[in-house]
Amino acid sequence: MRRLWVHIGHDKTGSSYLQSVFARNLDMLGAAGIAYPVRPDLRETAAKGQTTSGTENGPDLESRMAALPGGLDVLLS
Amino acid sequence: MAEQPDAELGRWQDWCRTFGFDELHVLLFTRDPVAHAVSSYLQTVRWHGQTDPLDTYVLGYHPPLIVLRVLERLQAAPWVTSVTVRNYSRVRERLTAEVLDWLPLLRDMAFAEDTGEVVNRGLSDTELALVLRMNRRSPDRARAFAMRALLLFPEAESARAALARGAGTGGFAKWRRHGHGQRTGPARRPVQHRHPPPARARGHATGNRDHAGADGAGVGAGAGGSDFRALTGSGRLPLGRHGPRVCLLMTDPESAMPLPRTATTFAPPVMEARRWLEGMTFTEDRPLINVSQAAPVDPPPEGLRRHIAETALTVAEAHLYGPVLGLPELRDEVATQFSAAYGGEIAAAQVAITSGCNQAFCAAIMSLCGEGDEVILPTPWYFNHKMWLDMLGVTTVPLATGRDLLPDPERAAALITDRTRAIVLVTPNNPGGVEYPAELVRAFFDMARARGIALIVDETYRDFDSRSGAPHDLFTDPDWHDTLIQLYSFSKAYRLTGHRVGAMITSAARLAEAEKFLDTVTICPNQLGQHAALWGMRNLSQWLAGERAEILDRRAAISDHFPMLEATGWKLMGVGAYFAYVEHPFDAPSDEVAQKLVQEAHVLTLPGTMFMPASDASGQRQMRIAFANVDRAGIQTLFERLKAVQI
Repeated sequence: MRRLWVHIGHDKTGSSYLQSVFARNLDMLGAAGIAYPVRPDLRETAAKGQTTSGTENGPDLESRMAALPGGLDVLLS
Repeated sequence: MAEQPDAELGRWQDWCRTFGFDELHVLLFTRDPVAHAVSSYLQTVRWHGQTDPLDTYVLGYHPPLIVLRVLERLQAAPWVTSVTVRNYSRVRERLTAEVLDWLPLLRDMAFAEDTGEVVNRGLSDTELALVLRMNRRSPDRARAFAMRALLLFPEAESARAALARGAGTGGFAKWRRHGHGQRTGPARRPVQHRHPPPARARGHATGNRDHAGADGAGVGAGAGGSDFRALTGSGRLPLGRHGPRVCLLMTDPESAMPLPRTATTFAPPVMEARRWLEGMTFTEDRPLINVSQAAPVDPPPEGLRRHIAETALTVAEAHLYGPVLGLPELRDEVATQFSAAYGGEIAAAQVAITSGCNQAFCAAIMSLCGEGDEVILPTPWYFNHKMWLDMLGVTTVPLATGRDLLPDPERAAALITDRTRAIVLVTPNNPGGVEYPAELVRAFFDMARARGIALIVDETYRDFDSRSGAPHDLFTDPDWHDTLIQLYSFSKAYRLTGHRVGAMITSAARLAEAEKFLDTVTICPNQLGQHAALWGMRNLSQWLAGERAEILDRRAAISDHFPMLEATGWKLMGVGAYFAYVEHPFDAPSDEVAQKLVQEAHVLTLPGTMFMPASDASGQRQMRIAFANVDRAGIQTLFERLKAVQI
């Protein structure tokens, strides 16, 4: 069974902090069968604790999700 | 999601199809609106050139409505499997743990959290003052400054700003609006002031190069502006009579010290009502009729007083500590008599004696609830119940009753959440006077059991029930104790109010929990009072029957004489126990009416507002008349006086 996990904020409720935590813990999420399709070029920034838009709800989100292994759950934030 | 929830939900549905998701789980953090508004405001100051003061900003603040809209849409979307909502304000210290709970991770997994850098602290007080001022001149330079300050001083403490009406009296006011500090551009609709700012304020706007329409703009029209003159002022806070309606305070509801527990609830209503008597003089031909409190005014019958005196003289233990859960003989007597009265099996081990029925309620709640749990109280409620829940940090969920004052089990069931721990029934009801039908009590019991919560039935007035026989059949169920907590008072039956003796009847296991509380607070119930209650139970049943007959006659007198009041628009909603619960005919809230009745009719009642949440306006039309101390003739006099009152 494949599941989609969506964290939808809202603003000013620690979203940047959580997105930073997610970016720093891709391995652990992966071990639990969860992919977090953050843009590769933003991963470092987020992991450092700077504000990003998480998995960025832009037009390229679908292509990033499509590139994930089919067996994994997906976490969006 | 906030802007176009339907479009976004549509995308999610597409993803489920395209990528083969079988389930879709949503996590949303909300936040207490005051803290969120302040935080959002600071954000607009730092990054978006905000020049308005906080009070102007909050006038257009509406995110809670967006959250509600989004939640409605999420609930309506069948492809959304679950929606988890957490209040950031309550869980901010364990945010990551909340997410770990939500995700299906392995038990012992833990996120690496320490990023070594501060993600996004709020503006400090000094930054707020500076950036707000710089935004008037150059938002770009202000933003650059704010960014640099954030990097240079990552640990600076965020401004602890919150809103408070009438903050001028608090002494922490940090700024005020005056003059016209708004940027050039089309005039905005001015903020409506109840009082225009004082004329002398005009002068302070000088020095702001951007301000438009120098003098003619007028004081009222320039209300959208502000400055920080007061920030560096040395205790000379410019807060005259026409000061701001809303100010910035140094209090953050999320990080503020918690309130003392007693500060979380209201003052005792009976005491407040007594204060209405201050300064009043009552004449002999028109004495005060006090129908505010449900308590006998006469002492116990002489036989009982003699027994108390003899016990005091001859029984040494009656002056010493006793068992926490009460005198064994009294527990036994209650168990035997109640088993017979209710046709069920109640063991002495399932009876605890408490220091009055109020303490029984407190002990029951202590054994049921943690902070943030919920308890359902039908309204109008017994105010001490509400006060105790407030002081424990337990949320009271009001269950409105209809014109017949009877609570509806189905409406109650709809109010149950995963935090609900109990429903409380008071029958015969204080303040409503109504006796709950046995089937109704049974329906609540069955529903409570099915939903895994407790049913507390406060039967303080059971000895004055007009019905003969058992008022409900709950004890006939051999497993009654898995759901039922019955509360009782010896105060009314034997006129022992000052001795403080009540009882709590439930499972022995729950009593063992309650014992911790009782031991800590009172160690044991009043020994003399317990001996008195025991003697009363064994010797005063005939006398009590006479007391009941007298109360029932007074109740009948209420019904007999009420038509006289009905003619002037009063309505009788419920009558029984010690109470008549009525609707007054006046175009004024009941707390005002009650004070008028003291002045004009020399009658002290309690207003319905004392038995209702402020959000329920029906309390403003209702009053409680505690008639137990007024005889038949007195009830006629009472009604004649009420009838004559015009407000």
